[in-house]
Order: sequence, then structure tokens, then C-alpha cells
Amino acid sequence: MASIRRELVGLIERGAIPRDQVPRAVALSGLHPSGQAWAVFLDRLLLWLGTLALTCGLLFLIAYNWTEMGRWLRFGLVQAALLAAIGVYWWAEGRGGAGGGIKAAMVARAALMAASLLLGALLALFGQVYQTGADPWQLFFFWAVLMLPWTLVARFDALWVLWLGLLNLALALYFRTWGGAFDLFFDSDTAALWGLFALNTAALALWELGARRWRWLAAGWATRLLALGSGIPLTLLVIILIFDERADVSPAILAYPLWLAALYAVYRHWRPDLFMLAGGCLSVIAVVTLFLARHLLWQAEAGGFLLLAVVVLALGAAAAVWLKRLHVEMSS
Amino acid sequence: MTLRDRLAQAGIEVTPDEGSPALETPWFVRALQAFSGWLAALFLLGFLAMGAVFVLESSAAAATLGLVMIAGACIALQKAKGDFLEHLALAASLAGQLLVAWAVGNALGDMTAGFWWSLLVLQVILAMVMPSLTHRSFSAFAASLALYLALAEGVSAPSLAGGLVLLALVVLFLNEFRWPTRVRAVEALGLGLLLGLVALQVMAYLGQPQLGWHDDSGVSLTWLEPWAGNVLGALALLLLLRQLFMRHAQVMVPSVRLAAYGAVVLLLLLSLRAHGLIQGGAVMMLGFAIGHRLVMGSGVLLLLLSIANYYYWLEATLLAKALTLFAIGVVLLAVRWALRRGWPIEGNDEDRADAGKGASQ
Repeated sequence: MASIRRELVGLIERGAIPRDQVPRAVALSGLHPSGQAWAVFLDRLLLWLGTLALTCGLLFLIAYNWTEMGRWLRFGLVQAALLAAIGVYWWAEGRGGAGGGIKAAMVARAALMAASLLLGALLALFGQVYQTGADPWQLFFFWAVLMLPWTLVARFDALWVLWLGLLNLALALYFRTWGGAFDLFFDSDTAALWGLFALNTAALALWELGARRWRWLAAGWATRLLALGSGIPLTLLVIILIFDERADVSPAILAYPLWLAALYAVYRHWRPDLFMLAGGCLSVIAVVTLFLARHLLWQAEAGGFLLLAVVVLALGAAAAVWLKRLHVEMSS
Repeated sequence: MTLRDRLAQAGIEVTPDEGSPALETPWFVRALQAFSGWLAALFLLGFLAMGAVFVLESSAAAATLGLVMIAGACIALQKAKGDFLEHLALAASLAGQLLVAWAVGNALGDMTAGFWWSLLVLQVILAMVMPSLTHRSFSAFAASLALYLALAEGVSAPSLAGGLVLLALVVLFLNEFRWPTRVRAVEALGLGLLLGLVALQVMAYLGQPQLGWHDDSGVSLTWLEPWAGNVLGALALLLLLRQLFMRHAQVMVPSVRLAAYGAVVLLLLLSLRAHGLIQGGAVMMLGFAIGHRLVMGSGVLLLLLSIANYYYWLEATLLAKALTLFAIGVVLLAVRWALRRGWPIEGNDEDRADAGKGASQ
């Protein structure tokens, strides 16, 4: 529907369709969904929103500070919900195999997503009731480990993103708590950023390779999210290096150009994606501007500000020109 | 069959192509343009502050220079063909707006409600007149934020802003093809409002009490919080439904219409205790109705943000919130069950997968 929109808007804008015929052309273009498409959409929307509301309802209920409810009842409640979710998955998967098709597959995915969230609620409840003394990072780490088998069988991109989100959270919390094994070399914040960069870059590479084989991994939104998870920590590491007066050498000096080169090679030639290249441009503009700001604004002279404004404008314009040219090339 | 063929078959005359059609600039390239323009504007302002302090010392001088810069940018954007000139104009306009804001703030003595109302008026005018899609989007976004802060400072009812922005968004996108020469301008305004809506949800998450808002005008509409935002969200949903029923008038029987309106009213009543949820749902439905994936994806984001906000909402206990969510979940699944009985889904599986993609993401 994105291409229909682009084409239709292009025709209307160029005046290729007579003005008085535009409403009819829009109605006939297929841009607006048919009654059948609405039926499918509403079916999915109600299924997902309903499941999400019920699951969040249970999470909120467990988080409520109960005094009257005993531990047996609380555990029983979460475990019963967990079993129900897995039961629905089992039932829907069975129907899907017997010709139920995509309708049943969607119910199975929703059930497995609910089960994955409830697993976290069960672990949190365990920590709350028994006061195990575990650190917060352990909750998210073991949650991710325990839900891995479901993630593997589900063949569902959103569940993988949830799994990676939990790992990201576990990693960030781990370094906040312990500083980590790299403490000799880095501050804990820097180590956390390196950890997030390594995790998301590896995940992005594996995802892109996996998408060549499995069609269900090919949704662009997940790789874009992972690219942000890889690029933002590395850009922050370079920015920290620019402003840290003590540090003069960091692996970021080497990693950053390599990352940019890889981004260019992969998303310019192998799997063209303008969003990724625009992200790289934004990162370079931020780094160059802050580097110049650090050195030019030291004396706080008016000329420095003017020079910076011109540099930012030039970089922004150059990036926009390049990206627009690539956009034309990629669309042809 | 291509779109051209389809239209020609229906008897609509489509004039042949003259040269290659202009490609729409993707939203993230426009966001990058806006970001560098904004950054350059800050440095330009720094340059003025360091090199021409006397301008900032006088409100009149700052306002005059600001307005001249905005007017100059407007003229340049009308004639600008190159990207550098467009960026320069964008940066000049933003720096001009900052100067005007500085002057208004100085004249009013503080960042009061009057300050935010003035900025709202300025941004609305710029969103209407500036001949640049990036600028229109930015101004619509800034206007949403100014409205939120004006309502928060002036009448202590910031949630009204989310509802009003959503209503404007729905009205705008439902009428996007009404003015054929302004199709892209309307879309740019809509995307700016959409970004504003997401920003408002994030601001609500960061918490209002920390900003120390107070009622300084003597008019307090705190009693409207947060119900008014939900009611406006439901109104947006009803507007959307009305438009859809007009589109599919020949196949919709009155009982289905009645049932749909009833379901929205029921959801509204339930969401009065779960504020924000109805807005995310309305944006998702809007995105699907107009075939715009970015709008649909923003609806999913809004929904997730509003659930996170809801957890920290202090006016209800977690027990009450849990019971509300259970009720909403049961109603939604019951509606789905009823829908499947009365409106069986047929057709091939691939079509369904494409049509429902946004809902699953």
C-alpha cells in the first residue's frame, strides 16, 4: 500500500488526474482497504489488544502490594495463566497444522507472546516473595534464557525483538551493578555501551544473514531497531572520547570508522536501505559537530559559532543531497 | 495491473508522463534536515549572543531581527532550489523563531501560559505559510508542544492537548485528498502532529509534577484531567468510523453501524479508567484506514508508551488498573468472537497477512 500511496500522490501532484476526478481515483486506487481487509485487520487488532490487556492486567495485579492474598494463591494465579497461554498455543498450533492457516497461527503467536510476558511475571513474583537477593540484571537474564526455546519454535520476529530487548536490559543493568570484567580498562558506563554495541551488532549481522534464508525474518522494522541499538552506543562512545580530557586512546577510534565502512558496504550495495545510511550520516554529523565544538568554542568567540553553523549546514545539505540521489537510484 | 491501467479502465483520464515524476523525500531524510537546521540555528543564535549582545538586550531589537530572519527564510524557501540554500533558510527561520521567543519571554517576564500561547500562534502561522515540507512538519510538531505547555501552565489540563492534537490529526488525514494541490503539505502537517503526539506521551511519562506547574491564571480545569483527553480520543475514533461508514455505505447495514458505535462508547467508558489507551488504538485505525504504515507504526508505539504511563499513573491503585485492563481485554476478545460469527473472514491467506501486518508489529 506504500507504493500505491506514492504513485497516487505523484499523479495527483503532477496534475495527471483531472481535479474533479481525484475523489473517484482515490476510491478506485486500492489505497483504502476493502471491507474484507478491514475484517482481517480488526480481527488481528482485537486479538492483540485483548491479549495485551489481559496479560498487562495480570502483571499489574501481581505488582499490587497484596496483604490478603497468600503466596500459594499468587503463584497459582500466574502459573494458571501461564498454563492457559501455553494451552491456547498448543491448541492453535494443532489447528494451524490441520489447515486452520494463518488465523490459527496468529492466535498461537499471541498466546506465546503472552506466555513469554507471564514468565517474567512469575520470575519477578519469585524474587518478590522469597527475597532471593538477586540483582535486577539476573531477573532479565534468566527470563531471556528461559524463554529462548519458545522464541526458537515461534518463528515470530516480535518475540525475537522482545528477547533481544531483555538481553539489552540485563546487560545494561549488569554493568550498572558490577562494572564488569573490563573495569581495568573502562568505566562501567563505557563498558555497558561497549556491551550493548557488541550485542546489537552481532544480533544485526545474524538477523540479516537469517533473513536471507527465512522469510519471516525479513521485516525491515526489526533490523532498523537493531541498527539503532548498534549505532547509538558506538556514537556515544566516540562522543565520550571527544569530551573526556583524560582519555587519549580508545578502541572507539578504530571501531567507529570500521563500523561506518561496514554500514556503507552492507546497506549501500548488499541490502540497500536508505534508513540505515541516513542513520550513519546523522551519527557523523553529531560526531564532527561535537569535535569542532570542543575545539572551536574553547575560547568562546563569536567566529567559532558562525563557523560551526556553516559546517553543520554544509554537512546536513551534503547528506540530504547524497541520500536523495541514492533514493532515486534505489527506487528506479 | 498498474494504478494507471486501473484508473484508465474505470474511465478516468490520466495524462501521459512528462519526464520522471518527483520522488517523495522519505520522512527520515526530512528529519535529518530538520535536525541539522535546528543545530545550525542554535549556533547562529550563539553567534548573535556573542557578537551582537545588544540585540538580545533589547526585546524590540530581538523581535525585529527574528521576524526579519523568518521573513527572509520564507522568501528564500520560495525560491530555493538547492539543498544548501534550503538548509540555510531553515536554520535562519529557526534562529529567528528562537529570537522571537526570547523577546516574548523577556516582555512577559517569565515562561507563563501567555508565552506558550504566543508561540503556538507563531507556529500555527508558520505551519500554514512556510513553503517547505520539512518546515511545515517541524512547525506542526512545535505547535503541539506549545499547546501542551500552554494548557498545562494556563489551565492545568495538559491531557486536553493530546486529545486536541489527535482530533486535528484525524481530521487532517481523513481529508488529505480534498485539496489536490496541497496533498504533500497536508501530509507534512499530519506527520508533524503525529511526532508531537508521541512527544506528548513521552512528556507525560517523564512526569508533570517535576516541572512544578501551577495555576497562575485563576482558571483551573484540573477536574477535566485526564477524562477530557480520553473523550476527545473517542470523538476522533467516532469521526473515523463515520468516515468509514460513508466509504462503505452500500455494504453496511444499520445494525452493524449501531454495534460499532456502541463498542466505541463501551471502550470509552472502560478507558476512562485507563487513560491514553484509546488514543493509540485510534492512531492505529487511522493508519490502516488511509493506507499509511508510518502512522500505523506510530499507533503501536503510542499504545506501548501509554501502557507504560498507565502503570505509573497515581490516581488509581494497581488493583483498580488490573481490573480495568481485565475488563477491556475480555470486552475486546468478546467483540472479536462476535465479529467472527457475523463477519466470516474469507479470501486467500497472503492478502490477510499483508493487511494485518501492522497490527502484529
